[in-house]
Amino acid sequence: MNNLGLPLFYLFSAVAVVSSLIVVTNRRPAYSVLALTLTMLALSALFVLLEAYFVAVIQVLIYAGAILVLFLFVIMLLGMEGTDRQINKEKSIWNIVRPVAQLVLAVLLLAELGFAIVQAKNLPQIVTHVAGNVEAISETLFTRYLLPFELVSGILLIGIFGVVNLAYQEQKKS
Amino acid sequence: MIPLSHYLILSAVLFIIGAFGAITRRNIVIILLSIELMLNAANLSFVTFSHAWGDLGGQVISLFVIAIAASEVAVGLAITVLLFRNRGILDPNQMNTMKW
Repeated sequence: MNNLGLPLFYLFSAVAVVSSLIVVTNRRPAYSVLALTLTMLALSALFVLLEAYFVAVIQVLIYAGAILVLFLFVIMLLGMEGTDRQINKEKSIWNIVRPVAQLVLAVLLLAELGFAIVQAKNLPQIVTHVAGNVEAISETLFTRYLLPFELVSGILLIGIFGVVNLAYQEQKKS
Repeated sequence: MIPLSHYLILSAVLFIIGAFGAITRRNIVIILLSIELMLNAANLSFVTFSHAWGDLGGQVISLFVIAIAASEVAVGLAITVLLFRNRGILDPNQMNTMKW
């Protein structure tokens, strides 16, 4: 496991970076969602390498299984393919300014990334080992983090209220 | 043994890609996807530090992040569907009225 860890890390991180670039640059939203699913799967493999097994399983179940399927549903429901190109045909000064602004932003972000990489050299090595299996996670979750856990249930309830309210207004109108 | 800095640099790269997408793209669905990407990069940092310091709190927080992301996406996509059905817009620049 120890000598296999580094090649596996490079493989999965390369998959994650390439697929997240596809997410951002692709013109078709459906392809973006599928690329983001690939990113999530690669990240969950990285969580397994970090011995966070429960988080890896939750990542696959909730993100790849629920959230991104919701995205796919919405994209197929709306039929929004090709709406990007229609916007681009408008003639305005923004069509010239926008690529320049994007370039400036990319340079700024890359400079920040270079700064982060230089700073990361000074970090200490990983010394301890802790396995994030269900037993250990639940023990931490229900003792030290009990109040945040209950507050998260409140936030999920508010989310349900919001979505049902929006859907109900839609129904009432039609 | 994989160094700690490798994970953090990967997390920074993913976060920056997501931030670039969230700022530059003009389709609200892609913006939501980029925000998901940024949340995942933050999750990777949390889990990395949790592993490095031998404290499970980081992994618990990453579970909280996943829960918040789920509810955020549900509400955001509901608003997107309503906006597209009622007004036919996906560009956040055109969402300039509170009520119509």
